[in-house]
Amino acid sequence: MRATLLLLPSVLLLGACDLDGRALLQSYDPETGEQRPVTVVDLDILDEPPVVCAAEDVQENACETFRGALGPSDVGTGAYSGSTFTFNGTGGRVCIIIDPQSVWRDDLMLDSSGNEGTNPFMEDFPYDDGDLDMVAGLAAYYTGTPGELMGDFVNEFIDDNGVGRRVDHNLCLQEDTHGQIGGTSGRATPEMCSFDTLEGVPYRLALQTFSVPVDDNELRYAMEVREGGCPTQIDECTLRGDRDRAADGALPLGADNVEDMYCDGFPEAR
Amino acid sequence: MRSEFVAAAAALLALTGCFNEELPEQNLAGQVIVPSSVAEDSRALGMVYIGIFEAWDPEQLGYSYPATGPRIGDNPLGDAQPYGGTTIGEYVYPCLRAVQCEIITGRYSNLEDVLEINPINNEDGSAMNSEQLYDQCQWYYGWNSIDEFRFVGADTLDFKQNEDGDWAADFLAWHSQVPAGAILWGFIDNDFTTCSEAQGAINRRRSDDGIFFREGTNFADVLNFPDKYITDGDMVSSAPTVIEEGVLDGYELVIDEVMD
Repeated sequence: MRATLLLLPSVLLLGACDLDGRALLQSYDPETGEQRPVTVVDLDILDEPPVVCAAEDVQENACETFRGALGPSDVGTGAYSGSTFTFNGTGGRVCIIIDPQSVWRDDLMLDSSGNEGTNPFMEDFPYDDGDLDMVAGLAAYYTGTPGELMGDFVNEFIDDNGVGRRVDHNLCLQEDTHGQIGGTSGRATPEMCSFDTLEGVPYRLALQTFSVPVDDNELRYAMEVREGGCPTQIDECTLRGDRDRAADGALPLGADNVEDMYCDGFPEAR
Repeated sequence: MRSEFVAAAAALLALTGCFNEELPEQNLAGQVIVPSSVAEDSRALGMVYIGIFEAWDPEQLGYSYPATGPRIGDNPLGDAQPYGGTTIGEYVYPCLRAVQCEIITGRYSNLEDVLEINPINNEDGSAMNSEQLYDQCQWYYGWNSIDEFRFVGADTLDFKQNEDGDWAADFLAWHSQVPAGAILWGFIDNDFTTCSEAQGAINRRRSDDGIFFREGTNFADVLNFPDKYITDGDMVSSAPTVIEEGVLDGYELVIDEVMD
């Protein structure tokens, strides 16, 4: 009898532990109490799809930057929001650059000589930043379905000893800070990679949402696919447009958005 | 009541005996032999890397090397895709940055050995003695007894001389795939190129000296891309050892070819 008395409050206490952790997920919609479905976009069927920027345009800094927006992923289950872009190989090297929303440090800005310094009028605001990662390779090796399901380039084969092996056909290789292959940039930071292509053979770029901005659950991004190798260095200002427009008066000295403020300074101070 | 409890406990114990995960991974054990003709002093042997690979391909790079898997894009030559592997010895921070990435566990009996193979100078240019190294390690790690020193100890030496006078060290490769026909291949990194000074634990005295550095550890891809790290003076096994069906112990791998 005494044991039953002890057991009962224990069960009741356990019931109190039944917390709903979904509110912590990036795909959770507080208005409906449900998780938002992932958004998978096939950029190839847009009215104005991205294009591979010709080498001449790259030289003249005249590439047309593609700008898009993606919803949240459900990283835990592996269901990613993302987009795919298919292009034909040029027979030479191709460079891919992406820049997820928006600016890693809002309290910094470039001065007139291009050096990064403190922005005296701003504090960092990380809640408008997201993280986008990319993989690319021969379209034939892509495991997802454009417009339906995000995938990657990891395939399997059986080796000579009969052992099942995994092989990653991702050609978009980035080094981490230790020079080891497999790195990706973090929040709001641009990524780039380049690889050789076979002429006329379809390649596919897959952009996977790793995290969306907390403030609106929508990740804007900028992207360019260019003929030739990648620049030695890229930064927040290499591609523009990966930002939200701020509400009137929200930013100091007439600034329209955090990216312009970081790259160009303040309109009223010019 | 007691007998019921005993019966239930026995049943539970018996059930655990029935549990077999049937994982394809197994532990593989054996011995590495380094002939005395190529290594007079085992204290000077670097980190030994042993891998279990799909096959052997001495033609690809012009020296004994495992067969490599599919080469993807700009991946450097030589992704050997091991089934598993292990090392003999590991990098340990020897309390001083002057010899960071140069000290390996299982090579030295005492601090005198360490300083004989790796002479260290004090700030005034004089040679550091074992007492000074002890004091430095006492400060850095808080070690208060020589028994606490991870990189010295007569009973923790990896290599011992066998009856032929060669250096022999036991190895155990945990949780590896070991299909018949696969090979054991290894190399010894005598010039420490496999150690990354930018990785490993953060300076554990940072709050005292205010200096940020990492203690150093091996790169993560050494067994995937051994050719990135094999340099002159390193040693490779000139012939691999073939894995036999169902045999998980007693293998011998000879590392006998000095690269030049």
